[in-house]
Amino acid sequence: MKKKTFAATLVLFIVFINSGMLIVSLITWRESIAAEREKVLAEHFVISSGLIGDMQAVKNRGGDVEGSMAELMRTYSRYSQNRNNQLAVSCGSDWIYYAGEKAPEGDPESFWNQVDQSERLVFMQKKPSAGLCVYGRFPAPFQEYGLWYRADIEDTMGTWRIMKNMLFVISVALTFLFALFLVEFLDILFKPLREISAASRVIASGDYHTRLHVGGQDEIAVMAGNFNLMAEQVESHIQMLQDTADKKQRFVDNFAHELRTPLTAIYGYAEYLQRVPVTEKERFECTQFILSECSRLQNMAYQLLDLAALREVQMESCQAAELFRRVCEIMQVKAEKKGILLSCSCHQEKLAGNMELLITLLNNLVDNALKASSPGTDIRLEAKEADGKLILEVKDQGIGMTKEQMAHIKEAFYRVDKSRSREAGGAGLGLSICERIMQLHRGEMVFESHPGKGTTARLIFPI
Amino acid sequence: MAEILIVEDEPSINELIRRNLSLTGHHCTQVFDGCEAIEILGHRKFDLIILDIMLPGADGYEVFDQAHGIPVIFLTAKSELSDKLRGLTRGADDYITKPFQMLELAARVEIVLRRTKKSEKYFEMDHVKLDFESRRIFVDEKPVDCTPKEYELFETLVRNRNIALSRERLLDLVWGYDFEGGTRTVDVHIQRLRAKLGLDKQITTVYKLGYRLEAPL
Repeated sequence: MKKKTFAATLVLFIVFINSGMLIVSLITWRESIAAEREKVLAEHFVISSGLIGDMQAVKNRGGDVEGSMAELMRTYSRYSQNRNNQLAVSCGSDWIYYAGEKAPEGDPESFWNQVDQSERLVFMQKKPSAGLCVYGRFPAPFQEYGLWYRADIEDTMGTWRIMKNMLFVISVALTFLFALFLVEFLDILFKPLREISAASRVIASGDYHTRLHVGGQDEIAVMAGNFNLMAEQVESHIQMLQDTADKKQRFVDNFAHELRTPLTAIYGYAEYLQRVPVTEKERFECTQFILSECSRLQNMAYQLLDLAALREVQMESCQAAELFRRVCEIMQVKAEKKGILLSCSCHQEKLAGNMELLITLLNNLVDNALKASSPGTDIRLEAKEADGKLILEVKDQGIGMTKEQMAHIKEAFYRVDKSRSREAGGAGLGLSICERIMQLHRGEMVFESHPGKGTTARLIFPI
Repeated sequence: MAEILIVEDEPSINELIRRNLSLTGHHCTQVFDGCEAIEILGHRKFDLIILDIMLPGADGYEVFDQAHGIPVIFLTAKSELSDKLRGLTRGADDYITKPFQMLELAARVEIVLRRTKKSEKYFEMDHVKLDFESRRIFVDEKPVDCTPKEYELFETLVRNRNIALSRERLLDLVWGYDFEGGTRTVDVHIQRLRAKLGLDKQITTVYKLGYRLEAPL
């Protein structure tokens, strides 16, 4: 990119500076030629007028105009030759006089034919040196005659050539200077790009905290800003992945821990039965422990399977009233056994969801509430709409939870009261399953609890 | 006969430990949460505490701080090194990770008790008496003439009484891992012990497993 910019800019510069120089030299050339032309024409006029006067005088005296031409021209010739100019006079188709050794090139008659009396022929001659030639016809009675005058402009051309070479040298020097400047300038211009590239490498190597310094308002600053935004996104995504991986790891750790207790018990009692002489009573007790630990493992396996199976659900329109009715039907017996009053309140609330899963979800929550409640208290199921969301509430007046317990309740295998949960055969996966079901419904499950006052579980569904 | 406090919140495991330790004649007290353990430590003396780390109420480390010099064996499902180090740098005597084997538990308890000189000095059963310090066996108060291997075999049976020990295990414990002879050696020595000590009925052969010394609890 930098090389391309450099090459393109340099080529443009060379083209412009050289065309500039070319135009300057062309204009100078034309102007100096024009000045020379004026001068030559003026000189031609002076010489012609003088010569015509002289010729008139010779004719008036009755002399031979043609014969005395050399005599007439001498002064002019001397004057011109000093300046390396040439003079010639034509009459008809011949040069009747010329200064110097050679007659001018070209046919006098063709010159004569090309012009009439009022104008003069001006043309350039390159050989043997640069010269400007003028040919003009004389007025009557000397209309047969014409004067050819050639001014040497080698000096002027030389000056112009020197100037042209100078311009070329200057353009080359300028080009070099410009190239040097351009390299430095591009270096400064591309510095932010280099920084961005360095930062990307650092990020690619795993350090996601790297940010660019954003200064100014230009495109590069915007780009750096976007780059930082991208880095932030990447970092947060990586963090999210890390969190998910941590969560999975915690789950596996907890799972291993959870497996160890029943396994220890089963192994221990089996070993005990095998190695120790036991009475019938002892045998029953030991096998009872083995059986209950086995059923605990079985429970855990089923719940884990449930959790694993919860991938996709069929959504349908569910009536809150119907949902509550079915949950109460299932939980009523258990509640009555504990002496707890289970009540519902709802209107015409509807929600999109899977009925069976929602029943499982509410059963779990009501079951938890039952475990936390003491006889004579109430558990209330309530449905209501607020802020464009549907809220299902399970409210108990049980023992409640501390802040610390609340922080862990959604973790798999966490149990607020280990021993009671164990007696009830819980695996500590109930709320994990609830949370998963809520995720599938794109809803949210929040808890509000005060120790000694009770707990409210709130299920918030989008409508 | 040592007084042992078992602090473990899982009833099945607590009970399992109690049963195992009772076999070798220890007297156990069972406690199921941390607060209860701290309370009982306030007014009773124990020779050894077997302590779970994850406990309701107060955790194992808090209970440990109240132990005041009583030897402690930590019992935990966590086998991570950091937890082991944390327990041991605080002065715990040993560690057992779940799941554990009966013999491992018995052996570790025995080692800690021996180190703290709380292990029994004698073992008596019917007419037989074993003196752990002088390493002699008495039958009806008269010393029995027996080889060192016979003595060690009997001591091993006594220390793991009521628990069946396989021939291989007995070989390992008495003769050591590098012993070249077969398990027949164990059978021969058991026969001799039975004859010398008159314990035909008490040293029983357990089907497919090995031998067991059955002593009254």
